[in-house]
Amino acid sequence: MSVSPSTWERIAARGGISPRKARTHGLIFIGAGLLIYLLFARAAAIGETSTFVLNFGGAAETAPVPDLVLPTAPTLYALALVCAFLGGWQLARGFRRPNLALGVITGLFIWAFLTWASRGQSFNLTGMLNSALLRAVPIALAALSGVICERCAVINIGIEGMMLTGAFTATLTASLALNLWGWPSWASMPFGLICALVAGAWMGLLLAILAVRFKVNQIIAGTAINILSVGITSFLSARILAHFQQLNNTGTLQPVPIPLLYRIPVIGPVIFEQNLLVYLLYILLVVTHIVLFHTRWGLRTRAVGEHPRAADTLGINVFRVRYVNVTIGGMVAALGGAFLILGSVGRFDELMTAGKGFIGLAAMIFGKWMPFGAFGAALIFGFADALQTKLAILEVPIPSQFLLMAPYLMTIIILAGVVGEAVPPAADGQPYEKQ
Amino acid sequence: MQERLRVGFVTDGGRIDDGSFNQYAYEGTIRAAQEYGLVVELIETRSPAEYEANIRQAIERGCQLVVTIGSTTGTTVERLATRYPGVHFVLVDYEPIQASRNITGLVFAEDQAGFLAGALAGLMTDTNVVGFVGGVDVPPVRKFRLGFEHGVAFTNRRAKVLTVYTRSFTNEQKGREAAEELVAQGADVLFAAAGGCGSAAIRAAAARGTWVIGSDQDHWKTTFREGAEPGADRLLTSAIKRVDQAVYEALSLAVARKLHGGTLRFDLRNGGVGLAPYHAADVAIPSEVRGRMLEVAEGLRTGRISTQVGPKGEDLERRLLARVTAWNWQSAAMIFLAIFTALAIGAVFIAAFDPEVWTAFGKGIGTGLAAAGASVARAYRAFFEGALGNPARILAGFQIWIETGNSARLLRAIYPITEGLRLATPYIFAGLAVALGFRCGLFNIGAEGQYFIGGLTSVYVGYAVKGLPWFIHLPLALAAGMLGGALWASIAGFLKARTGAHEVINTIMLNYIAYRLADYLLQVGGPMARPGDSRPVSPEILPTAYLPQFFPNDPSIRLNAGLLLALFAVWFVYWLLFKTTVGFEIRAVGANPRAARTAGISVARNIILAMFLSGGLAGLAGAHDILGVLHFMPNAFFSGYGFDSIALALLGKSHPVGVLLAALLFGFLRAGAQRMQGVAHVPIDIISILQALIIIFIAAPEIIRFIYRIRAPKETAEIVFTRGWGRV
Repeated sequence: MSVSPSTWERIAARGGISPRKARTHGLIFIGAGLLIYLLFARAAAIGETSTFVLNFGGAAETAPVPDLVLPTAPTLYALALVCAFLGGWQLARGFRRPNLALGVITGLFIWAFLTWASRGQSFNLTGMLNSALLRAVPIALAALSGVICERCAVINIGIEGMMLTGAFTATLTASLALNLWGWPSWASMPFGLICALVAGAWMGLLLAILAVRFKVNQIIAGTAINILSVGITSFLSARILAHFQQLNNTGTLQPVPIPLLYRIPVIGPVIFEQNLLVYLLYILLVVTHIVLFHTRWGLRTRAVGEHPRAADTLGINVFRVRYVNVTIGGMVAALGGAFLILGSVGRFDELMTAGKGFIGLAAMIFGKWMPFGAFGAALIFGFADALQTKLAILEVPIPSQFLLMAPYLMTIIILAGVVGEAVPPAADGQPYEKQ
Repeated sequence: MQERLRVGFVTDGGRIDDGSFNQYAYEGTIRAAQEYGLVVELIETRSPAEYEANIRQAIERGCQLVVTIGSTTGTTVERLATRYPGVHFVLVDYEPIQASRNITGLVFAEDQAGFLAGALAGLMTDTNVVGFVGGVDVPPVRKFRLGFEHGVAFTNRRAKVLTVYTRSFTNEQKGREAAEELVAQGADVLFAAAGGCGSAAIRAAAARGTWVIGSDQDHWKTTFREGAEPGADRLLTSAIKRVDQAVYEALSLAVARKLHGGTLRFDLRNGGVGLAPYHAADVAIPSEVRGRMLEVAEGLRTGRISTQVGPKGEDLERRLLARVTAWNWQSAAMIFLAIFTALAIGAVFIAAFDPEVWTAFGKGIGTGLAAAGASVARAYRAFFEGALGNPARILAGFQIWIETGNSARLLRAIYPITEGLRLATPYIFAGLAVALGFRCGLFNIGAEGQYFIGGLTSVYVGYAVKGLPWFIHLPLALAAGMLGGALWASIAGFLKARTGAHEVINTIMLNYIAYRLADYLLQVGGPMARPGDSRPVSPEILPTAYLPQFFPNDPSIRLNAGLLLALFAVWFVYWLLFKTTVGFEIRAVGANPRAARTAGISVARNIILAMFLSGGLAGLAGAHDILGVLHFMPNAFFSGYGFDSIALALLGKSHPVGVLLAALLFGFLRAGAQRMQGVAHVPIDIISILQALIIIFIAAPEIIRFIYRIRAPKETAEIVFTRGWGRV
């Protein structure tokens, strides 16, 4: 295959990426098709079917959706062909939006993988999406915290620690109110939530003081917060939670279906039949987006993130903006931790965040420092996380440890593939010195 | 419009165009006068006797400010200054004795200029003999001489400095004689700091083909008249004092009404002293010498290199007391206070979350406080005994050993110390790993994962490779551990270099992947599991891969040869970073990647290399624990080395020796915490709290200064740790 350099340049110019990258993309697409053929399609026996269940078994059961039954082998061959075709198209003509094309290919590949994995069995797709969303929520909150901090140029590596603090505080206070003071759960849980937010605000304030007031290297300050949180939560967990089991049991929030919306087939129960904290995330996303891009405070925040000196000259109090934003960022991160407890498991374990704060930072970068972008990226991570549990149930011949690596591998791949083009706020990570 | 400032300029006995201080100080005065519209009254002094009268004359003409040269006339001016309190005096080369409010002395760091001249002389000499011609032994000349001597010693330890004082700044005949004498003794580089006498000396020496270095001003322009005089091509450079610049700045301050009595210092940092261009000698100076000179100048500027000359011209070298007092005691005190404060806050945690203290507070405040004190005392007593042993038992054991030769009791008594050293060993490796990364501007949080992978690879070689003698098997297993960690870290280094993906996130992700990988390999029935065992552990390694124990007759003491290896690693990292080109490039990339790239250093290569080396050190930490202590690999998650090593590198200020000391501290801390958990039932996680607090206090020393009301010290060189997202 010979294509003149000018053609490459034309293709690349259309996608806005370098010629080399455009070519790599094309080869990746074809490679995906080839992999689908080699790994999956050839392993499928003729006549086998893959069943995707589209019901979730929640409140929407009144209007069941029929299962999606696909013939395994033909579906896989078709998917392989589509991938190869898209790859050829990218090489010959080029896509206008290469990242979108990359996303479509990834989606097709995962579809092929699931078709292969669930051959001869049934796979609950809606349940899987539901689980993906639930796992995405803490990551999305971590990413949102990152967005709020970094838009005013403070790198927050300490999100992990803030989440851990939030989770611990929520556990302790909500259990205390529920089991010792005998509050009803509708009161104990908001109480735990508010306490977690306060703890998160203190952690955020600590980061802000270190980074803004003392001009400590922000990555070191964030790391110190991580170590401190690990230390305090593990210490107190060993000292308190281990001795008083009733202090480590908060109960969990129950899903609340939103009338009418939850009846939408397939996605309805996934998006609109969740607990209140998930709806709170939706609201936070919209509010953050509006505040960042349509209000004076947002304009100031972004000005401080891009060019603090200019912002200062215009009379914006750079330090104040950073203090406020980082404190709010700490609260959002703690909310993510509280979700792990109240919205998910109901009890605290040492080091239970397991890197979700760092994955959230990767989601923030992948989402280009935009609230909804970060949420989208978090969904991908949540999907990867949910996938491994579902696959374990399907008894896929891949060791579970490798499936557990999936979210982390995904983070590395996405960081490597996207960071080159993702542009952080110009002043990110630099302390500001008033002249 | 305000009245124009009248400035009197009085020469100190030389002419106004003497090609020396009078001329340059006058040039600076004229420049300031033109810029700020000052009126200048010039009075030339013909003989020393009329100097005082000339100054009085200037004051009588209405000058509010008098500029003059003070190296020989300082006392006269001090006396006049008390007589005329309304007049301000600016004296070049003079440091006011008392805190006179109307004398400003302009003092130069001649030692820095002399040090640079000496460094160049040391590099250029072939005979290893260099000469110094001084005028009168006044402070500026002494500072030139001492700076020169130390500069020569800095670049060339074998070179000898011969010194001649002519006792005159003007007698040209004496200068020529001094030069002849030094050249006759074999000096092939000559540095002169003797005014006109020195000019004659370097002219005479240059005529004999000796390299010469001038002082005070650029002798290319004065002595050799822009290269017109013979021998100009032998002038290497001149150690210059920017007298004109200093006078100009003093007058600028006067115009702004900010000129106060006291001393204004001019050094390399503010451009007050320096080396002149190489001029005609340029072609003769090799590029290594140029590079070395740039490094020395940079070192002096940032304070990393000291000229070892005091501000009044005293020699700080070889005097132990002077060196000890010149050492930065405050930064050492800050580290001590940081640790102390962290321990104090830790005590609050221990007391506040002790169930016994709670019950005691139920009985009353007094009992509660007593119980809190007892709780802290018990915890820290266990802590210090765990870290350092019980002195009484050690003494008793020592006595038994002396008397009977039975060392069992002694060994049991010193067990805590050996345990501290044993725990410090992996800390040394891991701390060095992070410090090395910091030096390249990389933040390797992944020491944890690299430790795991290093452990896996070394244990595999330890049990799977059979039939080798120990002197091959042990190094092989160590090398495997190092390589495993190095390659694991290189993934993050490669991604950072090629795509800009931040190493902080990638190394953490690699940590989690390493846990899962270890989990997979070691699970019961897994590829590296011990056959027939119900625990997820690897097989025992062969004894040929064991690191030898220090005390083989007491197997409970686990201290082993790994400690020696760690000490070697400290030396190696020091040597690599500060004595080799590789280390220089790594540090250059860390200090300023853009500048390094402009200088032709490959940023990508050095990032990958630094991560490789860093991972190798972390891998060695894992190999030590496997080959020296456990002898098999358990599937235990979260050893804590990743975060601990960051604290170590910060505490040690990214310097190998500092890391060694910090690692010893942490080793003993951990040994103590283990005992504290065992005896006083304080969860070992208290260590993480202490570490985080130490990091915060070291990284933000203002907090400690605030608590203990310590004033901020002088500015010191900044150490680069790490930077933000994206490509460098």
